[in-house]
Amino acid sequence: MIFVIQRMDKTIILSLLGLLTLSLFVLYAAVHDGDIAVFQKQVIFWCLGFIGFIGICFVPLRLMGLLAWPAYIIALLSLALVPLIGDVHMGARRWLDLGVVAFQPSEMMKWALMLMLAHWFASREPNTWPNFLIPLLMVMLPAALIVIQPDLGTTLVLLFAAIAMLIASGFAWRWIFAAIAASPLVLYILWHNMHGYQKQRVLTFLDPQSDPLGAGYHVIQSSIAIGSGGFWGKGYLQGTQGRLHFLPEQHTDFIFAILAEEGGLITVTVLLVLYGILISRMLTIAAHAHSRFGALLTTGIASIFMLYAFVNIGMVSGILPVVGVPLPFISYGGSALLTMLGALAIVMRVAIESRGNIPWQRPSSPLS
Amino acid sequence: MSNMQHKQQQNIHARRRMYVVVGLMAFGLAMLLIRAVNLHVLQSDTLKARASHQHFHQYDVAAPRGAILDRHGRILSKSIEVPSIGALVGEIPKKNLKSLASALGIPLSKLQKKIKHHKGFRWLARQVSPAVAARVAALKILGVRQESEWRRYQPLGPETGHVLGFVGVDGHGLEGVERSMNQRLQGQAGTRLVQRDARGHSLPGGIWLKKPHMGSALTLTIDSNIQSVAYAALTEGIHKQHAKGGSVVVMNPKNGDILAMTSWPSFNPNNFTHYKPRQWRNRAITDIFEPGSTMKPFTIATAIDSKKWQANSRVFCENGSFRVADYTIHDDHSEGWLNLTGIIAKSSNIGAAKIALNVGSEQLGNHLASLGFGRRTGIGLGGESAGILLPPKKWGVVETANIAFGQGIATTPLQLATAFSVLANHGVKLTPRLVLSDKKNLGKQIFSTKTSQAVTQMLIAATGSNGTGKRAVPAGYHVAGKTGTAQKANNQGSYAKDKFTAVFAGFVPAEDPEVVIVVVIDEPKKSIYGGTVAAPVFRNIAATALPYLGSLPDMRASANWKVQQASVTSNAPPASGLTPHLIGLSLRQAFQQAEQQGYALRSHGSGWVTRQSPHPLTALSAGSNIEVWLNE
Repeated sequence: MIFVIQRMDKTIILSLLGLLTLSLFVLYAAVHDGDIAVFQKQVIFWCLGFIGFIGICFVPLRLMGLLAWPAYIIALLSLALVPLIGDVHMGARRWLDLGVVAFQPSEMMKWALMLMLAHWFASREPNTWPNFLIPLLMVMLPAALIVIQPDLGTTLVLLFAAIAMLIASGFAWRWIFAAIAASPLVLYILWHNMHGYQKQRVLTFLDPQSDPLGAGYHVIQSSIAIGSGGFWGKGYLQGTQGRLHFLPEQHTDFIFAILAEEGGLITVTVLLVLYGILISRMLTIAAHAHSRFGALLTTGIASIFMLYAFVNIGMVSGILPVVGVPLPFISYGGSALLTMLGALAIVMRVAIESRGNIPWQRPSSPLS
Repeated sequence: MSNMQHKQQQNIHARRRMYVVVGLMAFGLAMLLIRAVNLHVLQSDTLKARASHQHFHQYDVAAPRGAILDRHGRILSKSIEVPSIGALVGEIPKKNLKSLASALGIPLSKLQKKIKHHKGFRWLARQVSPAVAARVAALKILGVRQESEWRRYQPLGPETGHVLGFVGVDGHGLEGVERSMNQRLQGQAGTRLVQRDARGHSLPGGIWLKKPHMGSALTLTIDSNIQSVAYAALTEGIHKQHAKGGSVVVMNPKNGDILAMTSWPSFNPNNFTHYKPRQWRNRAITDIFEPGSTMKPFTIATAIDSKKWQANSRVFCENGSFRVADYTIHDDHSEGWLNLTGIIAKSSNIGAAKIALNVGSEQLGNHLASLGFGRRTGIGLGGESAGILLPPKKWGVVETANIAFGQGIATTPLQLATAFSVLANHGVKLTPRLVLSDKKNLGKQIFSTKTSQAVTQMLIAATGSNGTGKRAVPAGYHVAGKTGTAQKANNQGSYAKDKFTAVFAGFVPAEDPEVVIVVVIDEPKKSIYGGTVAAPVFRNIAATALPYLGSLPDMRASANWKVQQASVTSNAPPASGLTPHLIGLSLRQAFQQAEQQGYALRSHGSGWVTRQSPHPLTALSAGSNIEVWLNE
């Protein structure tokens, strides 16, 4: 026990604590004159998440490798069930009601796919046809199932995370560029399969001012919130865009607007630096991991974190279309927080197992 | 070795790939940071402006108008706060429309019409009663809200309606004093800044950028008691004669203060939209009429002032028919020789015409002009008419003769009152005033004191027991006044055969005048003569107003005793329909007597009757109302 805890990566722990602090402050600001129970629930989720985090740190990576196939197949099957028996919510069929809890198979698929790809490439030479086509199929199948739900955001996150893993796994560049060159065709097919509201969102992304009271409204309002914060921000609990209900979903997807309005550019920089530290540390761990499986898995998880942060902040500040993606560790939401902490715990396990290899960790630790 | 090398190469390869991933992610973070700098720094000012534009709402808050008071500080017009109901139309749920309409007390279709094609804020009902506001508030319908507004309330209603005018729903005076004194009465609107949420609802709190300032109060010369008396007397006179309309002006001749100004048909200014615009007209200043015989005193005064004539100078009145150029003047009663007093008392047209022809058009014209005929009085109310007075140069002999007895000249009731004030005020003309002021009203001497005294004596004779104006005299007073009966002009420019204006103008007490009263009755039907139609109205007003003003009747006058005796002795219904004398009786006795004689009685207070209305011995038709006040 002590052994595991002592081997934990301090940088990740510190940046995580930094994000935790920021999260609680911002969440409180977002809900302080509304539903304060949201804040209390999130504190409980953090506690549960930390317990789970420590628990997962004890699970050997080998076991994770064994879970890859079953997790992927279960996720794929439940994704396939969604069009048949899924619940319709906000015009999209994304949820599967298990009686006790409802869950989104697409959420599960993201992590299962990272696990699967990491497992697949861990023991295989990349630059052969079957080794390229099978993982491509592994990606495209769930991506197709998610895009018809429709859930554009998750599809893109899935695809980009997969691309990151393909790059990291050492595929020849020509394969990757061939895939990217084919993307206009994919985009064309994608566009024709999109629902009207999704097309609208993409068009609004291109020119949010074109429809100030309709689809562009949220983006304009969040831009106003961010910009009116200025360099130093309006001061803690002094933001008005949120309190006067100009911001949608201000404690979940649009929480970045609250942070930027009250904390200004300075706090935004702090947040981006924290993300930067966390993700670069994860990639450092990946680069020095003992096992190829651990390295690829860590890369995949880091890409998902990065994509979440990028897509969320990008959408709130108006450089990406509005897709429902949470801001990692900051947005309110139990399942997102718990899965992310779980994923981070896996990275931590990689770090623990690779101890000695990783820079700034003293190999001379008495118990290593 | 080669395996080691291979492994090392693979590691280098993997690490290079990792750098690519790191590079891509760093690129992503950099993009976010650039965007953040763009928004936070470069676009900050624009976006801050947009934020405050949508977060704050600045609006004007109406200030209450100043009150209008009568000369004793009683409220004539006041702004009261009333709720108005508006709504953000787009937010009202369709299912609530029916209950909203019934709470507002309007049909559903009317409400639907009101909000059709609108999305933003609309007034649903302005200035509603507190009960309606409470009903609407109880429904708690989304988007419906209340704002308080100022509404003008005039407690005396129709009695003061014409003088005061009224105020539109937006707080601007539209008629009367409310309009002409709008600048002064109107307050300064304030500006308030409130925070507003995304749905456009204002948040509680907020700050004043500028506080609203209530308008200044305005004290009028009107005496609300005399105004009420005048209104009641005029209304009674008009009803009795089935007349078309009329007006009364009561003026203090010593300082020009207008004590009462009232017209009929009247309207309720608190509800002015329910009346036709012609009823809003303040006839006392807008309507002109030919003054008829009431013009004679000024002809005579001009004659006396010219020193060519004296009170006892005699004129031959041609036995009722006198030719001037191609025009014949008639008298109602043919007369022979009359002195000037006789001409006034008997109201001889021929006598007045001959005097005027002798004095000359220029002198008469100049005097009439300086008395204020043909010119606005300067009272400061909008819509005032100047009357008609041709310049004397254009007068031929016929015009001169006609104007001498009040034809071919037109005046407003207020102008006539102003002119009579000159006679009552030792020949000094004052500008009539409606706004109470400490400043002395400086006048202009038109006639000498002696002249005005001489004419006053003639006017007293005109209301004597043989005069045309005898019905104008309240018991115990001397009245100096003149009746007038003028044919109205019809549309063709000639005189209508059956349309008359009956006038009585005069002042009382004649010895030391308290009030000048002008009564004009338009198109009376039962009788046409000023002496029978307008004079009783004059008397009724004077009989109540004079004791109130502190001028007591001379109880030694024999007529007064007769009244007292008559009322005490007669228990049986009198043959004539005169108001019974109820003063001094108990309430029970008063009811008995009123009932016996077929009148309805309304009482105020308890004890002994100390005042009654109409005055004792006023002619009343059966079934009329009598009001009595006890122990007042």
